[in-house]
Amino acid sequence: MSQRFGPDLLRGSLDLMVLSILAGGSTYGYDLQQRVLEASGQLVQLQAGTLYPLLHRLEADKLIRSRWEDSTGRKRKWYEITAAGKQRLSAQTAEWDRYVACIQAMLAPIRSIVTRPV
Amino acid sequence: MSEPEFEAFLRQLAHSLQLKELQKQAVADELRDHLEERLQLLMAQGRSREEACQQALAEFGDAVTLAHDFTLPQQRLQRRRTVRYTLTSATLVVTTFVMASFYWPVQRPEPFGQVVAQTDPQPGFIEVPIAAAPDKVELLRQEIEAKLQKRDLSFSMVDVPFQDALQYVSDALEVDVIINNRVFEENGVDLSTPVNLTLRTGNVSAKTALRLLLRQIQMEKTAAIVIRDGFIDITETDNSHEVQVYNCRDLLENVTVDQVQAARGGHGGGGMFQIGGAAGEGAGGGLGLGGSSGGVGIGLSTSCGTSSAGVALMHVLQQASQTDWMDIDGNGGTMTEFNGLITIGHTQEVHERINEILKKLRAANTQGAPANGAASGQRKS
Repeated sequence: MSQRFGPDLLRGSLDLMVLSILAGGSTYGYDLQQRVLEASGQLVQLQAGTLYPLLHRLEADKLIRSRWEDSTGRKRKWYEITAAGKQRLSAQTAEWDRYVACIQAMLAPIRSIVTRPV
Repeated sequence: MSEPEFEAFLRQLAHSLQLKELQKQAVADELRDHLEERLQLLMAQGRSREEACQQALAEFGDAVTLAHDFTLPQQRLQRRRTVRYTLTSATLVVTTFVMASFYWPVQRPEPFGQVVAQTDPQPGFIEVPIAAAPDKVELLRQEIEAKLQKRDLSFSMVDVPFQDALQYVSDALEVDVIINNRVFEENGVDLSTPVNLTLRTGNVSAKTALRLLLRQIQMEKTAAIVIRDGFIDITETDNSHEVQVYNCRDLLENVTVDQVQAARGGHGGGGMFQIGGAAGEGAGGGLGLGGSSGGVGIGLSTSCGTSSAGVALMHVLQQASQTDWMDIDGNGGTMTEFNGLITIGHTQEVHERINEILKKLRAANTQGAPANGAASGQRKS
């Protein structure tokens, strides 16, 4: 069974995950939560108590916007990424790639040690 | 129809949200949609309705903490708008000033030059109410002090970063709480240190809540909560003295010479003033003029403008404030009285105590303290 990631590691990348899902099309909170779970291979389970305040923060920062629909019989709030959100996603993706490359380079010398069976 | 458990949770959430009613409703609608969809999925997986309800709610965590997380982005947004409007206003004022200075006729007085106080304003002069400024500052201070004494705070903070916790209190009080970063850095305290504090009963004042938060990061003794010009400053404990003038004429006007003489004579408990617990913890038995403390040095001889009742009141304040005074200990603060105005030079903390004592004296005075009231904690609150 795969191990999930620690909260400290996730904290800095949640915005990136949510923006990347929304870049694929508009969706609502519950569906977004499930999509993150699927996209991460069941490794990232965003708790509802974390997800909704995060969505509201991104909306306050104008990185996403929302609209209400009641086609399902109950009121549902849909989110979509804004132009500013796409810019942020692009910048954060580039930054993330640099960060990953940096960490991989740092870990390369010790990789043989930490992967050696005990 | 939504589950009753969901509605109870959403009501509690809405109650704790520091947002406008429409925003609260929108948050509740959004979360209700999530909860119902989650419920259906969990029941489809074979859970009982009760289990599914509990699981769906558990995924949201504590309603109060969630409300705090929801409130922060909105208030951050409002603060940004406020700063933007303030900057815009400041720019307009400066522009107006520059334009007015540029076009102001030479023969007229300067528009914002020397302040001229006069009873009959003439065209071309701008009358500035000189006395209004200090009053406004004092009113602001009193307003913030009243908010700090309020006991309607209720929250549950679990591993909340200290600075977010302060922000929550700031938002709840609608007063800016500014942190002196240097003091915390010098003491090796990270402002993101998690704090845990639950106040559900509403029995604790906002000031005590701030002190409890400071205690969580071991800064209770090092940092002080100081009311500045329109905001609360969390800064280093200030041992420097500041001078404040207290108008005590209302407390002194009904005191007769006889009462003061009786007090000087050391008759047990007789006198106008009595403080029971007025000085907070440790004031214990309270004070009566010339009461159980044995009538300590209340003299009728007065210096210019100083009343004997005023001297008596100063004695009460000195005793009840339980701190050092220059004329008693040879070090500490100073206290003088002129025409019912008591001028005190001491630390901010002592000024707070003096304010508290005076407030209790006034309350006791208004209620009509018994003339021979024993020096016990009758007015303890």
